[in-house]
This record gives sequence, structure tokens and C-alpha cells, in this order.
Amino acid sequence: MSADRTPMSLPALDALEREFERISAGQHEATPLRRLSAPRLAWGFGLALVLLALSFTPPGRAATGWVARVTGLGGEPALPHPESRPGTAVVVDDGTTPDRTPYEVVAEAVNPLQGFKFGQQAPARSDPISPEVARDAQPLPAHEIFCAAVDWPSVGDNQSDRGCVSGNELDGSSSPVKNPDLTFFPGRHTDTPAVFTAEVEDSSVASIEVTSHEQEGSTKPIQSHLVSVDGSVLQKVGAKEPFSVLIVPLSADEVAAASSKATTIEATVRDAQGSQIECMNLFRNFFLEQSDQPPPETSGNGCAG
Amino acid sequence: MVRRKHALLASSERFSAFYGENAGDLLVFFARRVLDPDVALELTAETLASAFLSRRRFRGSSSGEARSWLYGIARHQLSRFFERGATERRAIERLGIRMPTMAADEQQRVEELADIEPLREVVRSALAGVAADQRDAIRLRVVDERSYSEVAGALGISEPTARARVSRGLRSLARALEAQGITKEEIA
Repeated sequence: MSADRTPMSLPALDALEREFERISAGQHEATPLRRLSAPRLAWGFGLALVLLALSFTPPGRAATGWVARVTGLGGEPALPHPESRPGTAVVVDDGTTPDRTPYEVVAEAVNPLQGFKFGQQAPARSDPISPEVARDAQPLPAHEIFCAAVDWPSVGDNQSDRGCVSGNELDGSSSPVKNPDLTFFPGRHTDTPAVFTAEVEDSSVASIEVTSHEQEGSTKPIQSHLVSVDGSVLQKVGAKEPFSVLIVPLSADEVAAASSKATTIEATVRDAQGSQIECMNLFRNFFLEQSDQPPPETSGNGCAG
Repeated sequence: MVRRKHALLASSERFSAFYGENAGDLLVFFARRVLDPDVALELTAETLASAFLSRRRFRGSSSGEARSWLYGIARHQLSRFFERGATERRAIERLGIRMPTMAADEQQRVEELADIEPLREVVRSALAGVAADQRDAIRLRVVDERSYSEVAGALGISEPTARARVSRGLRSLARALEAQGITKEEIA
């Protein structure tokens, strides 16, 4: 269709236009109703309650630290983040899943109480705190929670799936990989691309190798990014201790295989000398409702034996 | 006011029309400045992809303002290209755009439309006037598409020095283009 509008007819420009049309069409294919499916909302609501509880206590305030340190990193997100404090939404990683679905990992500071007072009805806009919780809660000073959102830029505004995470206190484990989250591309769960994220604060961690193990024993590497936040970036955001974010973009096939327990996806955490610190099944706590099959046997270190 | 402006490029249909109105001119704009149709196509795609990603932040209300906004992005891309000696594909990759390739006859057509050959003569003469060390660095970086560390290794210099030589050489070429009627403001 560009042939009669552009000042010249070039197949390459026409092909490029078709690419933009394909991307635009992708925005209409996704349905926000399916994206906001019950499991995701339940998880988000549960975490919001935990965050609210933690916010009453010093440990709770400390728990909001790690994403705060990310604030200021990277560039401006492709999608608007209207609920974040202006200027805090920043891209900490971007790329495509193995099946070429673009994603962005965005850190943002959010004040869940902004715009309304406790004891009053919550505003109509999307908010992680329900009116019931707001009515029961005590007045709080202005505060923020911090979210790591996985955006899907090709889907467009108000289509991205996101969840709020916080610091170690929410995890409670001794594992160097904390606060795991799995964000699906808008649509049905388990047969869509997804991005796994987790926090890595242990300074002895030098690398993390992610692999997929099939039940018959074959193994293949899975692409992953360990995004380090250190040096001048730390100074910029006012952080004191360096940390990393583990990001594992997954194709629809990889998600489907993991959800059906046909494969396990494991992370081998190593120190600077290459020694194994830990091996762990990244998706042990995901997909529990997806299959009646028991997970593969695991060795004492948490990986398939 | 803001809502009306916001809607100008927000819908896919309007962005498609925006593409149709500007893509061809944009390609020629880049081709006349980088003298390479393939590079021009990449810069065109990256510029339009950047515009697509940030279209909801566009605050203009007319097609003229939209065009000015687009060429602001284009000049930024061009400036980055001259600084780095390489195209940026950040927005292209973010959107997952599959880059088309140009056939030989298409490249020829772009060169004709952009009237590139006379400009190449300008560049050739300008290149002859560039200091030899800068010319070698430009050739390795831009023509041979070597990394800065490889340029440094090939010339026996440090990487910062290699970057400086390429940068100075490209600025000399830019000045030569400016002398031929392409203003500095248009280039960067």
C-alpha cells in the first residue's frame, strides 16, 4: 500500500511497512482480559498485602531497597508507566525471547497510596491495594513500593504484564537467587513466551548458567542475562552495595515444556573461580496446577539428578 | 489539547499513513548523508521504529509537526552514526522488526534519487585531504566494518586513539558535505 503514497516504489520500503503493520496488528490481537487472568491477579494481590504489612515495620522499609537501587538505570521504557513516580521507570534489560518476542525489564518506584487517603474509597484507576484493605489499614506516611515490570513493547499501552517485587525479606531463603517471578506474554499461560526474573545480591556470584534438562537426559543451554548494577550506576542511583538481576527470556515452546514437566530449567550458580555455589530448579514453584505429573527426581543440590 | 495531539500518531492506521508520507523522503535524506543505500535503509528503519515506540509521547498536532519530530529523531540517529561509525538497531530489535534487504536495482534507484554519485566525488576528494592516519582509521572502521579494538590493533594504537581518529576523520567528511550545501544542522 505504500507504493502509491511514498514518493518512490521500493520493495524494501514496502517490506518495512509490512513489518510495522505486523507489529501494529499484534497490538490488537492481545486481549487485556486474558492477560489479567486470575492466577496473576491473585499473586499480585497477595504480594501487595505482604508489602503493605512490611511497610509498617523497619524490615519492610528495608525490603523495598533493591529495586530502588535500580532506579535511574538505563533508558526510558518504550511503554508508559503512569503509575510510577515520574522519572523512576527505567529499562534494566531488553531483548527478544528465543521466538523473537521483544521484551523490556523495567524498574519503577510506585506509591500505592498516591491519590487517595486511607478510610476512603480507592480511586478508580488500577491500584494494588483494594478498597477493603485501604479501609482497614491505619494511616501511613507517603511511601513507595518498587516493582520490576516485564513489558512487551510490541503489544502497546496498557497491555504489559507486571508484578511488584521487593527485597530478601520476602523470600526468606538462603539461596543467592531470590524473589523469582515469571511474567507471561499477554494471552494464555504456559503456551506463550515468558520472562523469568530474580534478584541476585550475593557478591560471590560471578555467573549463572541456565540449562534445560529433558526427562530422557538431554540438556541444552538457555539464554539468560545477569545484569550487574555497579560502578558509576550505583553512584547514580545512590545505592551502596552492587547486585545483579537474573533475566531468562523463554520461548513459548520452552514454557510449554517446563509447564508440562517435560523439562526442568535449572540454574547453576558459580563463583569467580568457576566453583558451583548452588544448582537450583528455577521453576520448582511455578506451573503446579498445570500437570499431574510429578517433577523429575532431583539431587540434593536442587537439580535433576 | 493534549488529547488531540496525543491521538495524531497513536493509532496504527495513522502511523501507517505517517509512514507512507515520510519513509521515502527519509530514505533519501539518509542516503544523501551516509552515501550508502543499505545503511540509509537501516537508519530509516531505526528512526521509524524509534518514532513508533515513542509515538504516544509526540505532542504535536499537525503532520508538519510530526514530520519535524521525525526528522529530529533522524538527525539524532545520523549523529550517532557519525559518532560511532555504525548504525544503531536498538528500536529495530526491541520491536522485532525483520529487516528487509535491498536488491541491486533498488540500491541503484536510491542512489539516483539521492543523487549520490556527485556527493561521493565530494567525499573522495575530502577523504584525500584528510590526514593519512585518520583516513586509515576511517577505512578500517567504516569501510571494513572492524571494531574499534581491531582498528587499534591493526594500526598499533590504543582504542581511545582509534576512536578519536575515526571521529575526527568523520567530522572532516561532514564538513566537506556541509560545504556542498548539506548544513551542519541537517547532519547533526
